[in-house]
Amino acid sequence: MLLSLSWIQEYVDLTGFSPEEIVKRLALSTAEIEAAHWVGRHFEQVKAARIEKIENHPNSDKLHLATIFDGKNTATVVCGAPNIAEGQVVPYASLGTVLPGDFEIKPAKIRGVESRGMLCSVKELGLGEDHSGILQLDKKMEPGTPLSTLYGGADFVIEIENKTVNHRPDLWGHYGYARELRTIFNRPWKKKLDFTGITPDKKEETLAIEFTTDKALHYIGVKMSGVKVGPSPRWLVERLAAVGSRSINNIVDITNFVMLETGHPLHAFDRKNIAGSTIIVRNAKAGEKFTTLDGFERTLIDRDIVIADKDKAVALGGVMGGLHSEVEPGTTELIIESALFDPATIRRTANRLDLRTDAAQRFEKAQWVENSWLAVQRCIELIKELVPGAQVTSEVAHRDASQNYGFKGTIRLSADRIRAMLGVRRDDLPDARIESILTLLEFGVTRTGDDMVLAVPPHRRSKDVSLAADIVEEIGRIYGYDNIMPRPPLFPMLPPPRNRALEKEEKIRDLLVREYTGYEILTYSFLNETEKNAFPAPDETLVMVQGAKESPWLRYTMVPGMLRGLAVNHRQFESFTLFEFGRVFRRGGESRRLAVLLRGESDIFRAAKRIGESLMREFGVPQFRFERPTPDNPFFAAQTLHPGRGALLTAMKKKVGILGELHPALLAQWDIKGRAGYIEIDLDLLCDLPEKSEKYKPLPKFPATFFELTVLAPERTEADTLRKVVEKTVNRDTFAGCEFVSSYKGQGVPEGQVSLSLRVTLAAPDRTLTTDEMKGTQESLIAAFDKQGWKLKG
Amino acid sequence: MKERLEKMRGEFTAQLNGAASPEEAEKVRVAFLGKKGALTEVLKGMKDLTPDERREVGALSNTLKDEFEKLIAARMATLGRVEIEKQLAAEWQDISWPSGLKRGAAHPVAVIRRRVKDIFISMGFEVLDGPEMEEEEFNFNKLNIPPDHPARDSQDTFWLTDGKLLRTHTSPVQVHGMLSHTPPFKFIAPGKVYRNEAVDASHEHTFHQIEGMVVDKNISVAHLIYSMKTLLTGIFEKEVEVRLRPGFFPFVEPGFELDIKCLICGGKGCSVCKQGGWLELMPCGMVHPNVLRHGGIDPEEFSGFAFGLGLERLVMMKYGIDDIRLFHGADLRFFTQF
Repeated sequence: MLLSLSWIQEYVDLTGFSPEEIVKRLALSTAEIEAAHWVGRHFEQVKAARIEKIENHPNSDKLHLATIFDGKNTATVVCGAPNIAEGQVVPYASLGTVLPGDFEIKPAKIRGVESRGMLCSVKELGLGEDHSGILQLDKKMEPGTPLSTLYGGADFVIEIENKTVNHRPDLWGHYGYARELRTIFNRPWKKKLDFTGITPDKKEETLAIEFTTDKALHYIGVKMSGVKVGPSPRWLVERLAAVGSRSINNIVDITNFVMLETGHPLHAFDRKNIAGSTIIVRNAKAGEKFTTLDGFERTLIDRDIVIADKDKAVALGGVMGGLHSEVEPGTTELIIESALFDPATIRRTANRLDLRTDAAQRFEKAQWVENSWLAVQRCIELIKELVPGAQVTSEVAHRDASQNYGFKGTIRLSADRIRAMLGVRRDDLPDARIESILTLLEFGVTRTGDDMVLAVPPHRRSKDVSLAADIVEEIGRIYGYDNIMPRPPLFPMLPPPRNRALEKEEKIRDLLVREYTGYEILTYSFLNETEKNAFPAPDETLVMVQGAKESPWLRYTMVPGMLRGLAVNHRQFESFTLFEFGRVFRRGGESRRLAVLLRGESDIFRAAKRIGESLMREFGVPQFRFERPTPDNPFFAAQTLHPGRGALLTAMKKKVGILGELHPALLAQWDIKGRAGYIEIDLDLLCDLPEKSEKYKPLPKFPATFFELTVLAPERTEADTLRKVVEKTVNRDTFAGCEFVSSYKGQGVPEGQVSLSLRVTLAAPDRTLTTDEMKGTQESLIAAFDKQGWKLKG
Repeated sequence: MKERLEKMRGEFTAQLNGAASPEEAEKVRVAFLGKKGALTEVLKGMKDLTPDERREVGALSNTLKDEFEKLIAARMATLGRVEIEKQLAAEWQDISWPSGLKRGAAHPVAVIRRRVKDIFISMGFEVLDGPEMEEEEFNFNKLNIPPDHPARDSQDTFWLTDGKLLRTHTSPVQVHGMLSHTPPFKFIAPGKVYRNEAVDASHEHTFHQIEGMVVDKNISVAHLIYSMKTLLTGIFEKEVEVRLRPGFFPFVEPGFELDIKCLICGGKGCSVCKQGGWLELMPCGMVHPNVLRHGGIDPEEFSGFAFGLGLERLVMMKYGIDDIRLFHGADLRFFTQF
């Protein structure tokens, strides 16, 4: 929204405060300022000048030397325009003038001749695009007359960031800002607008208002006759132009002017196009067609409000008038509407139809009844002023259903409470200052002991102010938040409770970065059709975004994101590790996940397993296992992981994750060559597991002893299978561990077999084991292996 | 005997000088001073001499022994040095060859988040977590944003088919936090948030915030300003000037926009602060009485402040990043820079 500072100053005298100061205080006390700048300043500097003489430029065929008289002096200007002639009156920018675009006129030599100033085209004056010649002024115009007499004087235009005044219905017109600045700078009114009443000149007709919807809150309708539609006077055109509004005709301009002044939208109907004398505010019928004055036919729903006569809708309530009843050049009689509707209803309609008009923007902020009276009074005043002979020819009809609208009570609080909430001392913000701020803001202040009882002014109670906290804000912002001294809060000196889940996440992040050279990435939580289909899951368990077209599903696995990471990088980098902390979603809940992707490792499964083990250690999980998944495990059934190179990670009997090599078919589908490893861990499950208790075990008193065995076993015999045999065979009292040394296939190992070497450690708590004992164990183990068909190797 | 010894000195010197390695020098030592060495033999044969001769020869051979030992040690040192020199001459390393050290990196947003979190923890704040898939009740209603409130406009929402939504801010954690805590308390809640809007260089539909809340008796705007100033001084590691402007957020009253004096130009005005000298950094305010009530806290007895900090914004300021899409781009050419 644009504000004209000169317009604001019609109501309040801000002499002595620079525009910069005003903008700064407005920004700190009221609203965000998007931009602020001077306009039309050059019209006060550029003057009408008469061309006295034209000579040819000595060094150019195209340029001329024009001698001009600006009412005081004569000067010679070099000019290249083809349309100049002696005796013309033209705009002359003397030295020092600043034209739009920050273009300052300085003395210059053009082709060897000094030019003292410049004659201006339409474009150079910022009045249009025409640059074909010098703008011709009326020959009767006295040389020396500033152009501001034609195009208006300088103004300072402030652009308010609209969303920062969403909660302030009173800040949608110039008068509201005048009230605000008057308070900030403690200035008197220059022109106060008060509703004093409307007296009809004649009573030709009796209008009636009828509400058939509870979304209509208040409606004023009044008829005017003797109207002549025509162009607006210059002051009105200029006021509107300064804030970016185009002049249409005097009547429409007046309704716009009053809206930009008071903030209250008005509508003027052409009386002849309204059937009967009853104005009905009703809900639209579902599917009802209505052509708004922008010429578009709109299809309405039954939550929209329309203004109707006995036959038809004539306006889309609170949003836009109808084409049919628009004020036209031949209009002589008007019905002026000043209404109030349920803000939420207007907002919904405007949003649905994408018709966020000036009126809708204001109505949805909750305008107030008193302002609607003021606005209609101002409108009538101005029409009478601009159209001599125009008269009010009906009683002012109105209907009020606003009894439950806005805050009706009073606010009771003490000055001490205000100071306590702001954290300021009485010396800095005495009671008198608080009362004076509230009075300037037009609150009614009554003292009851230590408390103030505050009557909220109408322009604040329709929406914004109803609580003690609202009053604290009023005082704080006008007093100036800058004036509040920062103070440390007093708190008991206690260590904060720890969030172990998040602490662990940070530890894992460090682990993956430092030990495994992982790069942390973030990927979106949304899946597209292809990604969703690659990981089948029952639809009824998935969560979707309403109305989303491209990627409607919320991820239920982290794989697609990691694949995206792989796809982005695999052509640029040979070997890398990516990881992501994120959430996966199912109907009814979400869970925290960690995903890791490995690329370029030589033994991918083992690399993945190493990371899996590291994580278990980091979490202090006492028992965990890598299990070969059953074919019905979703990750394997969906061909996410390689069937022979994938494992489930279980801890304390819970499936906390999966890891292994990604399925070649999946990589092929993503057009990725080579292999990649993948780990996905459920962090919520892991965090719920008990931590391993850290207790000291006494050092053994007697030395341990070990022996190594190498056996030939059929291919795909797992280390765990051997381990089980060892654990079953070796005497529990002396068994101290079993390590796997190597697994080998190739030369010296028969086809279809694998050579496995292991080391068994024995120890007893009460003695040193004898050689015989060790040999005995070794032999019984060899026998047990033999029984399995595993032959001792050479 | 004396002559033999004198001759032996000549032989010893010749052999020792002829030794080309410590091993050969050792051989010389054994040949003269070993158990069956030449000089040892002389000493062994002394028993056949007269006492006078024995005295003379004894003295001489002991002098020789000392002399030989010193010469051997010196020769050994020289030869050892030669060995080292040989080794040094043979050995060389291309010091410019890369070490092969691989590195990784946390996401820049995670780095800043940890930094902010650590500052808060050091000031006694608890760290809370909340769901990303949230109830309308917590994301809006309990935060004083009823249906049709215009504030819902600026938070374009991903509504989900099960009636829930993706949280549009971390503020719902305020309500969860109030319901699970008894004042006084102070906590922060970092998290991912979502807004249904088109992505471009400066807009993302997925980003990160840190919410903060402090509730106690008599918490004031002065406390809020102090806490924010302390926090920002911690983050930027230099004194930061802050100012509050009125800002409207339904869950605070009064509500503020907190600006910091531009760190690039120090407030003079530059392209980063659009010549204004100040940068809008975080919305904050005194917790709205209705929100306190929804959190089960009596606004007559307690007050509090709350704030929200956008993490991407901080990261972009810190590293001069001009495209927010890089954060979710997964491109290692970006992530290897941190």
